[in-house]
Amino acid sequence: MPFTLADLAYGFAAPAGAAAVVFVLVRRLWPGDGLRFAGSVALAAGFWTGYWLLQLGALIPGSHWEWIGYAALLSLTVGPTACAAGVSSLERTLPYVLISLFSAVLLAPQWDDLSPSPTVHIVVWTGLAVVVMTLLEPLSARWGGSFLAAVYGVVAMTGSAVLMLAGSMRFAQILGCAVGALFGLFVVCLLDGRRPRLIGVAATFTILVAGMLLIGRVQSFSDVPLASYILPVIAPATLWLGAVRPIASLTGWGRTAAACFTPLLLCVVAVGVAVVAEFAG
Amino acid sequence: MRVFWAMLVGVGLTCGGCAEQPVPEAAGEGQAAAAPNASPETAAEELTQAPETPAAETKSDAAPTAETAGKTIPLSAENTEIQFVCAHVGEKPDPRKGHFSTLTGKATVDGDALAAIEIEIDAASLTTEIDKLTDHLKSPDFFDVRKHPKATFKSTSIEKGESGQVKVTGDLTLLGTTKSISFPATVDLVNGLSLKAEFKVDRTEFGMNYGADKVEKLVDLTVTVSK
Repeated sequence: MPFTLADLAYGFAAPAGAAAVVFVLVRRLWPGDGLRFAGSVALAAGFWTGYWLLQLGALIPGSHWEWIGYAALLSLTVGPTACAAGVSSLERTLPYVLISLFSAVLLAPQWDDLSPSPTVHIVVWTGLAVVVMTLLEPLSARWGGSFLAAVYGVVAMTGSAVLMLAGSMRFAQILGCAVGALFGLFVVCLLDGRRPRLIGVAATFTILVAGMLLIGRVQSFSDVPLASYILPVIAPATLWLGAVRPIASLTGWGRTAAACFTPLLLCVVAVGVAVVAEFAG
Repeated sequence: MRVFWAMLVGVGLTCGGCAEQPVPEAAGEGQAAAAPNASPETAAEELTQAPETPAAETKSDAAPTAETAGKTIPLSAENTEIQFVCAHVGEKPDPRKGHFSTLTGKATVDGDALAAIEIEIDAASLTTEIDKLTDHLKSPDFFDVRKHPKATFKSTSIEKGESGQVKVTGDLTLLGTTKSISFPATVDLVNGLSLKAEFKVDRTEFGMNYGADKVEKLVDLTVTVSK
């Protein structure tokens, strides 16, 4: 079932355009504090644009996976707020725990035969999401917005590929809307001479990617292994290796390429393992 | 900071009242989802297409035997096959065939006629010739078997025609949506029950609407009950 031009237009170009426009507008209309909200609001806006245009799910959730867009919206109350000046590390982590726990309750199905149990899924996913968000947000101060958007976009694309291999084109398209939105952010950050940073995006990004991979995992009847669902979630956090020698001592494109290596490697492994599981043997 | 924590508590209290609650199907949603671009006459025609009946199958003018008359006949995968075929939209339809390997039901014979038929299908038992296709069909893209593990059909009337032909009308429940469908069938009640029905169902009318621009909305169904 190949993707049509409409899929690409509504599911990639439209989210990209929406994210770019919203990012520019929020920064322009709300300078100062608005800079913390621009990235996450733009990502959520781009995601919802594609989700709605392609009618990928009901606006009133009837299934656990249809809560993904609302979990992303709720993250807007936490991600940018946690980046406010004067917020300590503990004060930043607690809202991450809250939003992750709440998202996990929404997104994990309550099936009796789910193995591990729904509670285990909720606890583990919450822990993973909190760790990833906590690691990702400070990266916005170390890397430019276009670079971070590119890495996030590749990670989301990896997740989308895993979901497709796991047996759901719909879920792949849903996460594809985030890919489009991140591409829009990449372009607008690249073209903006002020080199804006993607502050406050970590929570929304993590919920979208980790959330959809959780959904894809529990809904899949395929042989795609657990590693393929987890590696994309943790991949962007490995950008912290760029703060460690010898990578930190590099400069320019060399440092960028070296820092990208580990996240990209994890993404390739995630997809490769899924391909082998599905097509080999 | 107090404003920050107040907002946080407010969000927590508000969200704490939320829980995953399945939204009941809107009364008009399934009913309104008629096959697009199809007039009621065309839709009725598609649902009641009567296949040409080979002469060899026309046996039902004979009276049912004593072992069949006034009997409830259990239906299972051992004597009943439900097969579906769906094609892609476009120049390469590449039809895909599948069937359900687990089902239960019963057929009731009253006098010399088939009076009622009920079938419950284990949706997760669907099987196709391609494993990845099977997995895809089980996903929320199509049958969403985790949320809707059963599909059912319960007849509401069976009109007897000539030469073993009947018109079966009943409620098909798929993806939690129930709609009345009618289809022709060939029935033979001599020495047991045999039935064959071939008809089409618009999957989008039951909420199976993903990929409507890639996969045909009309699905060919063949139901075969063997003696």
